[in-house]
Amino acid sequence: MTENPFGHERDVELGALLRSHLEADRHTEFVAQVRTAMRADAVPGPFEVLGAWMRPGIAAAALIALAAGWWLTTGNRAEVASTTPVEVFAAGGGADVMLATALEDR
Amino acid sequence: MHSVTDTDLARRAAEGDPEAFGALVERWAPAVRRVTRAALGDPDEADDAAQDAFLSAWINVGSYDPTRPFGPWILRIATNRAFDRGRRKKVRAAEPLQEDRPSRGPLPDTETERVLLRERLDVALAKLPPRQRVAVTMFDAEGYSHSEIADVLNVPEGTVRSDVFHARRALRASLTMYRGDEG
Repeated sequence: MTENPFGHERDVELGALLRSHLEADRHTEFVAQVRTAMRADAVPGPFEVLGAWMRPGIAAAALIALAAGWWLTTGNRAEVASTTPVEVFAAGGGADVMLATALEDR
Repeated sequence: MHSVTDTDLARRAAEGDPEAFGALVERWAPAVRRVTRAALGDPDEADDAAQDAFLSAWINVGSYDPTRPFGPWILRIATNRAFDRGRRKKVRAAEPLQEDRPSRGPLPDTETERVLLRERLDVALAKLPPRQRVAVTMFDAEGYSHSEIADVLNVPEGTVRSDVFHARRALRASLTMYRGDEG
């Protein structure tokens, strides 16, 4: 074992001792565990699958809600506004026709 | 010497080839496990950290720079995982053996001698700070340069030299004491 701790050279004996001391066994088992964990990491779990389905579902529901909101506020109101006879008359310019007819009679 | 280089395997792994990354795991598991053992002491914790490191590397292999060696890259991830685990769980260093225990007398066989040496090393390593253990292991056992270790540990090169110096001194003192017991 090299006695000079400042030495820049490797201490081969200490290195061999450390290497042997820290050496782990059952490498094949360890590698198999890592491979299994890698596969588990790659295959999505049930919640991830549900989540993946849920995201487009939520987007579609939001679009439907927006469309329904627009229809209830703007589109639907326009149709309702022209359902009574008076409103249909007003919307079609009936007042102008009546006024023009009266003026012509004079 | 491997016919397929680490860089080739890492490139294939980055393209999503799990077999290529598996080959890297087989290749680097011994060194990674030694270094995580040096960092943590506890073999089970060390293997958990090593596994975490490989999984993290698998996820992030796309960020590996193929112009640089693979070893320091995976060892950096592994030491970070090990140090994080050590901090989180506050892994207690192995309880030191009594320094003044009576001599066991003549050693009956080489197996006993090996066990004694292992005990001495356990005690000596447990007394060292984790970074010093990793530094001396990477330098003397794994053969990395001071600058490579500095890169792995994210400390200045001078700090690595100092860590290796202190660790060597402590380990040598302990092992010399062991040899003194023999005489």
